[in-house]
Amino acid sequence: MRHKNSNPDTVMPSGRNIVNPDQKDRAAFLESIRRIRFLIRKEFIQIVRNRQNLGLLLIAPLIQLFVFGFASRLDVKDVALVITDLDRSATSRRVIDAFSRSGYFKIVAILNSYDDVDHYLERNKASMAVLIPPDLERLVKGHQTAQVAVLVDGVDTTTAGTVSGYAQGILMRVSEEIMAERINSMQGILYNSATPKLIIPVILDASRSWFNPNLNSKDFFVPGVVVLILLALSTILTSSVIVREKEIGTIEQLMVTPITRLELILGKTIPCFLIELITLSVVTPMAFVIFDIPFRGSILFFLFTFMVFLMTASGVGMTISAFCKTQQQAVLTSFMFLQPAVLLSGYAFPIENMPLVIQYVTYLNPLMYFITIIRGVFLKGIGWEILWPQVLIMGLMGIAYIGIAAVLLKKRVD
Amino acid sequence: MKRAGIAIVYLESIIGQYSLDHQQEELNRQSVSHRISPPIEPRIRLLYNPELRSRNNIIPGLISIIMMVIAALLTSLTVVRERETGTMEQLISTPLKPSELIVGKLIPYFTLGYIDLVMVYLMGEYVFQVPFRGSLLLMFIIAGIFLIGALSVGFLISVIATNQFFATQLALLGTFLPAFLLSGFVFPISNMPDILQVLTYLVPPRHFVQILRSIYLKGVGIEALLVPVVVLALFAVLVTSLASRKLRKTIEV
Repeated sequence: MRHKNSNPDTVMPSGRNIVNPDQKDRAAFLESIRRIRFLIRKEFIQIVRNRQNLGLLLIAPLIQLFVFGFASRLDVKDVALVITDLDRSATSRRVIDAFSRSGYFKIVAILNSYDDVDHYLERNKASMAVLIPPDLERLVKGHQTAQVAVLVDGVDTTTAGTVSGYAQGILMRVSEEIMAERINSMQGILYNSATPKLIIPVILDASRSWFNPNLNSKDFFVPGVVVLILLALSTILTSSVIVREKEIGTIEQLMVTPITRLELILGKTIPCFLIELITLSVVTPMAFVIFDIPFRGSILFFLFTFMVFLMTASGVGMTISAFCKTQQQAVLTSFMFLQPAVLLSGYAFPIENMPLVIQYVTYLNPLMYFITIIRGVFLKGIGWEILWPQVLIMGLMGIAYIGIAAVLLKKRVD
Repeated sequence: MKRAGIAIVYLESIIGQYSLDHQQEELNRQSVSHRISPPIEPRIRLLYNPELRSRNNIIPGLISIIMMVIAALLTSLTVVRERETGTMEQLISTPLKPSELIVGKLIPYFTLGYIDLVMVYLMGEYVFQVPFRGSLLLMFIIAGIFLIGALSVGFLISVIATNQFFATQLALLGTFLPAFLLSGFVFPISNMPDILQVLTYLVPPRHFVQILRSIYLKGVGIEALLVPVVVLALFAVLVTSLASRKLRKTIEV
């Protein structure tokens, strides 16, 4: 338009028709903003006027945060343990004590037969069994080696590895204690002259982990829970508001209005976005209050990246809505995205343990980038200088999804 | 966190072993080792899944998650969709009885649930080679009981909800997330606070995950699964009757 007007070769139109192109653009822009504003109001009213929806939007995230924040723990404690003690001696009591004092185990029963153990393991009443042989004390007193068997239920792979490590450690410690006593009692016999003390070096336990020194899985998972709550909300909310119009048949009405595609998408997603921001601003402080998690990074960076993430998640929702005709389809398709996204994000299962092909697939998962960002911000206090590639990729994905949605939505409606 | 924790356990046992070796060496040097041998030797054995392959654990659990999504999440939209698009009145004006409506609405999803079960089972058997040690028939029967309960939950939500958005959000909150997080599928139940542990007994997938894992990996029969199966059956009966009562009310009003 501007180009045509400034071209001297074309015939100048009559003076009355000459409008400053800038002004015209601005007027059109303002008109567009006005239309979007109306649409936003309509959406807001539609979502919020329903009492059920409003209640759910306010309460659901808090319940989710509470229940899932407490549920997401991988620390090992109170593992149900069953012991068969055929020895019933001071030494066997010492072994049992060592297990009960460790804090990792909850002894559910002390049995008199090896065979009874099966009953407990098969019915999931215990996930570990310690079998103390009848000759434990005799062998120990006789300076021989007694074997104590530990049976671990390997079904729950996440705990079985850790639990068997703990059991091994506990038994080894008891063994060392007994050995130390034995050596002490032998001091006099062995070395009554020149070297009065036998020196036994003990290497100290020097493990220490950085950033999350107590290996508190709460600190590790709660930020992720906040992300999951908002991911599910934004994908499903965004996809259902657009598909709803299609299903009820009101999308034709919207199409005959002067609203353009982009305006429609913006008008539909901005209310969702605002609702998500409100949820975020409620859930995040609650996460700090309830779970007392550390926040080492910058709030500003956190908010900015979260908005980028919400944009990406809404973009996914929009793309889904372009494909679907009913809300049921939209929900199911959302799930086809949400489930792999959560499983392949590193939220619960470490990505390093996945097969190589799957590891490459995780690069396509926007949630993977955001989980990395959120954990970095919360636990390590890192920001833009280290996490910029993640933020950039996630943002680009979001823009790509919105673009795809806009193109697809046009085709479908036409 | 988990990686760090496991790494620390490994490191500790390596360092412990080193420490023991060192002690042994020292004792040798001081020539007392013939009098000393470690008093207790731990013999650790991992049962049911000796290589700790996590897929053996995940695939049976996944069956319960997928069936929950199909059964509860999808059915949660069935009635409310009719209401939202305005076809509910047409349905009510037909001579359809509430019980017929429930059966008719749920059978497609019941079938879908079974198809998914077969698919996941075949994938587990041939692609992931998860051992299946129990009875296939038993698994299919219990899955049916679980499906009826899950379908009824979805149906109940659908009857209560006034619009589809609410129905999906409630189904998500009430069925999918508990199935994922409170069932023991990912996070061990023994680590949860006591209140939450009690709450998990009300989550049907918790029992179903336990049943599936026991059938798959432990190869146990019905006698070891009686308690969880009875809980699932009770749940199914309770929720089905609740859903049909609610439906009757909405239709009559």
